[in-house]
Amino acid sequence: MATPTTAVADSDVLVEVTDLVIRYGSYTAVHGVSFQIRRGEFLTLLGPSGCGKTTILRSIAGLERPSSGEIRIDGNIVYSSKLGIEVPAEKRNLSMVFQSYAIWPHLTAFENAVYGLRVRKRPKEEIKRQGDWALDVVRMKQFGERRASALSGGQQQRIALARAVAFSPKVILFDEPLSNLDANLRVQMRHEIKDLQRKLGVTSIYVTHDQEEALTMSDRIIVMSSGQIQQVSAPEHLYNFPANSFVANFIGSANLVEGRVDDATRAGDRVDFVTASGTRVHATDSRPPGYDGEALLALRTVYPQLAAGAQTVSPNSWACRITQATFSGDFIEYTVAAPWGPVVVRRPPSERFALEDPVVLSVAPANCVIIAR
Amino acid sequence: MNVSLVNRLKGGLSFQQIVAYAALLVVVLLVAYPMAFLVEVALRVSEPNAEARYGLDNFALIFTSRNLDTIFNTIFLAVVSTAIAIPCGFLAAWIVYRTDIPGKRFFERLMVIPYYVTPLVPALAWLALAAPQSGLINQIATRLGHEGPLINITSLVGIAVVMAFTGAAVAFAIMGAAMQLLNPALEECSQVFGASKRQTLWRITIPLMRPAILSATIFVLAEGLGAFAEPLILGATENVQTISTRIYLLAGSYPPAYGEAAALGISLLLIVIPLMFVYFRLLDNRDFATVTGKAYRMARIETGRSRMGLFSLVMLYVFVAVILPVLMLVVNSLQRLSTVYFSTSVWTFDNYVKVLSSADHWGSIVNSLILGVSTATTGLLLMGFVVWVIYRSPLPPRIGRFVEYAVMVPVAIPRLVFAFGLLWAWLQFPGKMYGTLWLLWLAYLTVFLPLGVRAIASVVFQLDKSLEEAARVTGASRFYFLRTVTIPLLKPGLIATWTLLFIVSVRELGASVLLVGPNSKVISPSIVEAYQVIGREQAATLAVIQLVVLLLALMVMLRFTRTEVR
Repeated sequence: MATPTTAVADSDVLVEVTDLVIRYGSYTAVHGVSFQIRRGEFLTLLGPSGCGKTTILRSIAGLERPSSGEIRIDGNIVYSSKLGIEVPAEKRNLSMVFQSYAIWPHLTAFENAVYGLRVRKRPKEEIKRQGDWALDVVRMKQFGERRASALSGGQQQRIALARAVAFSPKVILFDEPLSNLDANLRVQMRHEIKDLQRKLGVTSIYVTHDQEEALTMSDRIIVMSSGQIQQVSAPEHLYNFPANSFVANFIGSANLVEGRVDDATRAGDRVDFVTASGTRVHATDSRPPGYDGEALLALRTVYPQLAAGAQTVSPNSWACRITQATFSGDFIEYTVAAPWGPVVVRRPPSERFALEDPVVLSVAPANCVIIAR
Repeated sequence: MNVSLVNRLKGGLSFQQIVAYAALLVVVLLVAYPMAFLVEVALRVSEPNAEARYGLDNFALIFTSRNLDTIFNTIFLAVVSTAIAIPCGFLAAWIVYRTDIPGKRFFERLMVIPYYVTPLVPALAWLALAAPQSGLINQIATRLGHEGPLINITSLVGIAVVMAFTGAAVAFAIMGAAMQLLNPALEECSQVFGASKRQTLWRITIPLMRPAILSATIFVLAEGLGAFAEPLILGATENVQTISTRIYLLAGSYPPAYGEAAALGISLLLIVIPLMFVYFRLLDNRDFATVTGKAYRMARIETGRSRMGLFSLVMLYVFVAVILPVLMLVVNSLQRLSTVYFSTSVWTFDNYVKVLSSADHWGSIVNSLILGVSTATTGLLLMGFVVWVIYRSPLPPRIGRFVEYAVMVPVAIPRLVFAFGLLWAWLQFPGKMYGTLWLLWLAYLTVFLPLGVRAIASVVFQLDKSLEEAARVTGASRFYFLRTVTIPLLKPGLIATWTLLFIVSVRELGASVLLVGPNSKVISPSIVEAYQVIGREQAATLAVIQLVVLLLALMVMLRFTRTEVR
C-alpha cells in the first residue's frame, strides 16, 4: 500500500508551500519543503523540537523570512524569493494561537477577542456580535469583562482561540498551543479545538511535538525531522504504514528488523521480507515509490499475537520463548525471542505468560510493514 | 515544630534574630537620625547658641516671593525636563531594543553614560557650548551673522533641557529593561491579527510599557525636583535658583539661615514623598503579567527604509547628549581661556599641570578614591547584610517588609536635604565628625542604601533557593556553603555592585557639597569650587580627570554585569 497522493485540484488548495528553504547563517533549518493544505483541512506539522516545524509555521504567518521558496495563500503569492515578493504578516489575513497564548494583559478578554476586528476597523455592531459569538463558542462569555491577566492558563488559551476565530480568518495557525497546559487540561482542550475546527470548518495548520495530539486531531499529518518531510499521511495510515524508521519510531512503538526484500515474491503491495537470519516474513511494502535504499521490517508492538504452546499454524507464525515481562497497567510488555532476535509485544493484562513460557508469535502480513531505513 | 517556635518556648530570641534586629536598628538610625534633626532645626526659632525655642516662623519664610520663585523654578525644571526626558528615553529604548538598527551594543553602553557621570559634566559643557555670549555655538552663530544668542542654555528652559539629558539616560535604562522582558509574541500576535507596525506600537507596546513609563516618569521627576548641579552652574548668571541651590546658599551664608534652609528642605520632601509613594506602589503592584523575569530572545522589528533614519536619530541624540559634552569638556581643559576659540596659541596642558600639582585638588582626588573604595567595601557588607535581613532572615515577614521600605526612604530625600540634616546632626554632636571623611562616608552609606540593596537583591535573586537547600541537605554548614557555593556564584554580581557603589561615591555632589571641610575635600564639590573661584578651565580639567576614573570603573562594571540575553 503506497502513500496516498497529495496532489489535489487547484481550487481546493488554500495554502501552498513550495521548495521552502530557511537558513540561519550556515545552518539550514528547513531543506526545500513543499506541501499543500486543502480548504477546511486540519493539517499538523509533527516532529521533535528543532525539526523546523515552528519555523515553517512562522514563515507562513510572515513572522520569519525564508531564504528561498514560495508560499501562496488562497492563490495569492505572499512570499516568493524568485519574484521578490513578501507580504507583511498583517496583510496575510491569518490568525494564530501562540504557545505562550500571547494574551494582551492590558486588555479585557473581550477586547483581546475582537482585536482582529478592531484593527480592521469593522463597524461597532459587528465587533460586538462577533466578539460575543467568539467568546460564546469557547464558553468564556461570562469572563468577557475580566482582565486577561486575571485568567487561568486554560482560560487564557480559550481567549486565544476566541481571538483566532472572531474575525473569520482564512487560516488559523496553531503553534504548540497546548504545551503549556497541564495534562488533563491538555486532553480537554484538544477535543475543544478539534470540535471548534470541525464546527467552523476553518482551515488549520497545527504544530506540535506530541504524537497523541497530532493523531487525535489531524486530517493529515506531516512528519518532519531535521528540516525535511519524512511522511505526509492521514493519522491511521501514518501509524499503520510508516514510510521509514524515523516515523516508525517517532509515532507509536515498533520493532525494527534488518533484512532484505525478496522482489520475486511481489504481488501488489504484498512481498516477502527475508530477515538477516534467514526467516521469511510475508509483509506489506510501505516504502515511498522509487526508494531503492536499504529496507527494514517494522512490527508495531501492539499487533503481534501470542498463543501458549509451540505449535505454529498460519504462515507468519513462529515458536518463541518469553524472555522478559513488564507489567505497565494498561498492557503487559513481553519480550519474546523470535528466530531473528528479540521482539517487544504489548498484550492486554488478561493475557498472562510467565518467563520462559513457550509461545507462538504470529503477525498478519498487513501488520508486517517494510519501510525505508 | 519550627525553629522560631522552639525559641519562643525557651522565651528568648535566636542569635540570628538578634543580629537581624540589630541591622534593622542600624538602618533606622542611619536614615532617621539626620531626618529628626532636619525637623528640629526647621522648627527652631531661637539663635543657634541660645536656649532652644520652637515655632513655625521658618515655615512662614517659605512664602516670601524669593522662596516662592525658587519653588516655582524647582517644579518647572522638574516637570519640563521630565516631559523631555521620558519621550526621548522611550523612543531611544524602543529604537535600540526593538528595531533592527545596527550598533545596538554601542548605543546601549553610550546612552547610560550621562547617568554614571556627575550632572556637572553636561552642565559645565553646555555652559561652554551655549552660554548666551561666550558659548561656542552662539559665537559661531554670531560670526555667521546671527543677531544675538542662538541658544540660551542659562534660561529656565535651557537648564531643563540639560537636566533632561541625564533624565533620559535613566528613563532609557528603566524602560529598556522592561522592553527586554516583554514577550515578543505579544507584538507578533498583534501583527498576525492584522495590525500595522504603528497600530501595534500604539495599541500593544505602549500600553504594555505603561508601568515602566510611569515608574521612569516618577523617578526622573523626583530626581529633577532635587536637581542641584545644573541650576547651580547654569542658573548663576540669571540667578535661577532651585530649592537645593537655595538651601546650599542659605547654609553657606553668614550668618547661616539654617532654619529657613531646613523649612525649604521639608517643603521639598512634602512634594517628593507622595511621588515616591506612588512609585513604590507601582513596583509592588505587578498587575501586568508581562514582567515574568524570563528574558526573551529579542524579535527585532524590521524597519526597512526608515532604518537608517532611526539610526541617525539615535546617533544624533547620543552625539548631542553624550559625546559633545565630553568633547567640549576635554577642549575646555586644554584651553588657556575657555571662551576664546578662534585664536592661535590658546591650547595648553597647563591646566593639568596646575590641577595635579595643587595640594587641594590632588587631595580631593585622593579623598574621593579613598571614599569610593571604603564606601563600596563597607557598603557591600552592610547592604548584603540588609538584603539577608529582608529576604532570608528568620524575622517575621512584616518586619522584613518594614526594613525593605525603610532602606528605600533615602530615594525620596533629595541628597542635599539629607546632607543638611546630617550636617546639623553632627554640628550639634560634641565629637569631631564634622569636617572629616567619616561624615561623608556615613552620608554615602545612607544615601546609597536603596541603590545598593536593590542591586544586591537582584544579584541574590538570580541564585535559586534550591541551591542553598541542596547544600544544606548534604550537610554543609552555613559558613562552608557560603564559601563554596554562594560567594563564587554571586561573585560577578557582587563585583559589579561594588563598582557601582564606587562610581556613585566618586561622582557624588549633592550630599558632599555641604559636608566637605577644609581637610576633607572630594572631587565633585572641588569642581564646583574651581568653577566658582578659579575658572572654568580648571573645573573642566578636574571634571575630565573624574570622568576618566568613572569611565574606567564603568568598564569594569559592565564586564561583570550579567550580559543581557541576545
